[in-house]
Amino acid sequence: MKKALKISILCCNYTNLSEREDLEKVLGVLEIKRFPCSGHIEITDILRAFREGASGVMVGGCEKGTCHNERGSERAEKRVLEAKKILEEIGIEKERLAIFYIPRLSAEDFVNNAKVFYELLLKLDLKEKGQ
Amino acid sequence: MVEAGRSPNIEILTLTEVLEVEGGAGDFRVTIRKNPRYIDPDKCTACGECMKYCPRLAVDTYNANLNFTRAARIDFPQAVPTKYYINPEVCLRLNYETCQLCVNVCGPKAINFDQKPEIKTLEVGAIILATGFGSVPLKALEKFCYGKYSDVVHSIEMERLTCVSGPTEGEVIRPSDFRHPKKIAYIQCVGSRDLSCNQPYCSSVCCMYAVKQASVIKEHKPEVEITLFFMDIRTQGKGFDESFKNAVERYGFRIIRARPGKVDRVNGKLALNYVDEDGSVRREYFDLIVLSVGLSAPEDAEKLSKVFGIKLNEFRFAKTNYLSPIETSRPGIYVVGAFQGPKDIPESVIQGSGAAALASELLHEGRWTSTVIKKYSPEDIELMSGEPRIGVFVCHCGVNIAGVVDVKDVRDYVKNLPGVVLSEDVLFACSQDSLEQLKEKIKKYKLNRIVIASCSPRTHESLFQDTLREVGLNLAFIEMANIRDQCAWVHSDDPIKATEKAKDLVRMAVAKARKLTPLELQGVKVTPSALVIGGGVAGLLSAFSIAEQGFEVYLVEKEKELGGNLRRLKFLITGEDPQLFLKDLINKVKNHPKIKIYTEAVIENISGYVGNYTSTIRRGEASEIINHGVVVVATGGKEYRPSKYPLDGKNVITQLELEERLDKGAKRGVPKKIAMIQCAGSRGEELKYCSKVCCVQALKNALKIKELSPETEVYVLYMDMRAYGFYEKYYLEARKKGIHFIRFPEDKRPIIEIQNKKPVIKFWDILLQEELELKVDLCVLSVGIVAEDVREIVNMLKLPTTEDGFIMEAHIKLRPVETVTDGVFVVGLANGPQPLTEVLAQARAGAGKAAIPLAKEFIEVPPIVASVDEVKCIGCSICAEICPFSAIEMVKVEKRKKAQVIKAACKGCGICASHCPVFAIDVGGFTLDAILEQVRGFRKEDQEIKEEKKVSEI
Repeated sequence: MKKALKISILCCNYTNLSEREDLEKVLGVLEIKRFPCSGHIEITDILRAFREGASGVMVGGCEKGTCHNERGSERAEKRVLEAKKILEEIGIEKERLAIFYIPRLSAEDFVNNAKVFYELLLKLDLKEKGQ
Repeated sequence: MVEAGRSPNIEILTLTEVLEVEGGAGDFRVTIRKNPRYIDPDKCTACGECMKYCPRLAVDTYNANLNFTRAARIDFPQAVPTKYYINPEVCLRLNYETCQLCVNVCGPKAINFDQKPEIKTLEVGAIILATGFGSVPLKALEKFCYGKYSDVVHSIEMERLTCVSGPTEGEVIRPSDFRHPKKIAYIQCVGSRDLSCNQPYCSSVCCMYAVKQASVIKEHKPEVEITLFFMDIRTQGKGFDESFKNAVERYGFRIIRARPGKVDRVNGKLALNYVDEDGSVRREYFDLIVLSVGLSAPEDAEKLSKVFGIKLNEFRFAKTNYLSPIETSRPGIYVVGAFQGPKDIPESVIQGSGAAALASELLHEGRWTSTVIKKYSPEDIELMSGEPRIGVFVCHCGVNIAGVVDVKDVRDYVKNLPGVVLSEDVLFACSQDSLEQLKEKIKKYKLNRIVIASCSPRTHESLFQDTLREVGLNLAFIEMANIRDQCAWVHSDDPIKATEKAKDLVRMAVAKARKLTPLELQGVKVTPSALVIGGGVAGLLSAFSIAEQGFEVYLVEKEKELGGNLRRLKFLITGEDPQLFLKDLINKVKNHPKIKIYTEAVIENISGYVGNYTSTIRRGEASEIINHGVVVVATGGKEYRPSKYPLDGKNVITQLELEERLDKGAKRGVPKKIAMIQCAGSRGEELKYCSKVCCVQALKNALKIKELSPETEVYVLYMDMRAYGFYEKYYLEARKKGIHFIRFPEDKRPIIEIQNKKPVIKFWDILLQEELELKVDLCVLSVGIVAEDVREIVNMLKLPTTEDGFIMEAHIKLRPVETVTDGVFVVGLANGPQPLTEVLAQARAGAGKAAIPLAKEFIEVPPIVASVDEVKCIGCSICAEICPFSAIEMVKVEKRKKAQVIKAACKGCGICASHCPVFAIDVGGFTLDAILEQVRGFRKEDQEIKEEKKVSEI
């Protein structure tokens, strides 16, 4: 049996309240870590997720202008860009890290994004195997 | 509706707009435009052919846009007038000059495309606006993804879905896949109490109707799980709290106090996120979400305001004064129902009667000048005295009966019964066109006994009796077989046996019909005066209104002064001065030439019946006997003093005591910290019910405190803040002013202790989930209202009361101020706890209803009364003793005692007939002979019927 893909989702508490039941249609192992605000997600949090065995990391933030803390998701975006640089340095494809802007409390968008991201990771894995 | 349609004095103008209103009270000239119906209502027989052939689909607005109808249509079968119409917006002929199919298929040639709008001017004395409510802004619904997800519906759509004559015939299915939902959620306060879509007021009715709808769904499908999301549960009406509790218990609804922010959908499943009362975030999945929408002002409120020259309030409803709730800003124009403010059916009906009283006050001089009196053709003796020729009409009642009982089978079966000349099935026997056809059939087939197999005689018998009288048959020659309530509804699970039972019921009715004997109608003269019991504000206003309508009034008050409880109210939440109003009203009543006031007086005895009451009024030593036609009971209520709280009048007081203190001692300074406890003794503690006024009263006093001393801290501990309707405005204001509102659960009520002469309140904080203590300088209890003890009056008038002591109305929704005793009306706090403005509306309504028999001068007594066969009577007087209405007296006839019935007092209950040892008493319409025949009619084998038929033919 193939080892299941693990996706680590780091997101803001307000972005959505999706539960296991919502995400059951998404293949792979999903791990959701909630933060008080996406602006609170540090680079180390992202890297730690990779170290803990995630194939990919998804950072979820509120759409621009809807953040409770004004610019939380913008901050998260900056950190994601920064983290991507580090990932490249240590030899992980930067596509394995992505940021998503999700409308408030819309689990549907959240799940759809997770699905797309899962497929992307699958492709990356296949490419790796092909090599 | 049918009754209004049949009255010769009501002209119903449908499809009509009011263009202009000129003149003033008593003399209005109203210009109207009658838009074309394109179908001549005089010719249309409502056969439905036009709709059957109409090729043009149209969205069915009557069914909340849930399905399609045709351009030529009738909205529902009982519509008044029962005539079809053509919708000009979609009709092919009117828009594209094609089609015209309906013209060709219409039998009576009723369709006329040449009709043009007619402009007419009417001369009227008073105008009553009853335009109803509009829908809430779409924005309020879209917040919950209405329109985005098809399984989010609003409650009006749900109402149609649960209705048996609705688009799904009562099946609750969800729009996305037409399957039965298993989990349903109701979200309350959609488009109400919502600042973001400019609807800050509470719509008053949604809490109650949501539970009603949920109960209906549960009746259909008991396995459905229903969750209701409330902010506050506002079931403040009379008996509403109890019904709510019963429904929740019986059907197991889940009640959650939370307001979900938004509807979410994942993998086709709807989810709601909400924060629980203890602060935890939860997420749940539902198959169907229903939005309980509120009531808005009519969409064209501005236009109405312009045309009628009336003012609107800040929420676009018609502006009225708190102390004159039915009058608009323009004299002679009255407003009732939901255009005056969101309200339920009983209150709307009360306002309707109230407006009739106001119009009658205004126009009493012209009474009877332009009325039409209905004349019946003389009874056709020849037809009636012949052999019974029975016509049977089996009603489908839409699908109410036909959905279960095989109506056609019943019809065919009946044809073979002896005496039956004609047997037919009809879609709605009670619709106006069916009644017309009934008349024609009576003439054509010379029918002299009619059997209607449909619903309950309680609701419809008088309608059919009236129809019979129109063609010269005695009203007794109708018999109803109740195959709806007593058959189709109760046996909906077994259609075959239900059809058998329907046959039995109809056969028995036919058997009884053969033995029916005519009844005599009698009129009783009315004494044109009223007795009003109680000199509080309800009694005062009722008395004033009746007197203004032109009748003598005797007003009896047990205390020294008039005014009752209103004397204790010092200010109103809306800012008016109640004392000024009361003084003015008392003066008007005292100086009215038609009102006679008895203070410090009690009613010693009341006897008689509608139209002819005789009462003894005792005033000290003296007593006086008066004759009057009607009685208005306005005996009022009083503040309840709960025993569980340390009420001492110093540190722990009631709201009324606080009000007096605030009025008197504003200068003395207001305490620094005040707590108010709502529902003290009410809603399940000592009194079962909600007293409706205390929440608003608390808000009023809290705001007054803040006005007098802004630095005082005010805490309001409540269960549900019932600031319904526009009172919500004051609730908002109170919260903005920093008054603290703390909710406590029903099973953990606050406890007051006195420590160091100061009250300490121990209460359970829901959010913190722990008990807190609050030390205050003053504790105010919002206590309920109890009815005055009026056992004697109630017994004299034979009025039933609720278990809480309030006098029961004849019908909670349709006859809210009438009692079961004809000619006795109940208004004010004696009827139920209610705020002043509603008492005023009710007092007017009582006056309006009381004036009906007074104005008629003669009243027809229902003919179903007992009669005594003097030859058989042995004078044992058992009947006189047991008669609950004291309608039998013993008289001496040729030195022998005989029973005699006072026909006007007899209610036709039949107790005397059942107790008479010698069968000397018969009740009209239910003679011994007829009943026995009916009983014999039960379980006759088909064989016997055929034989009998043969015999009768020979």
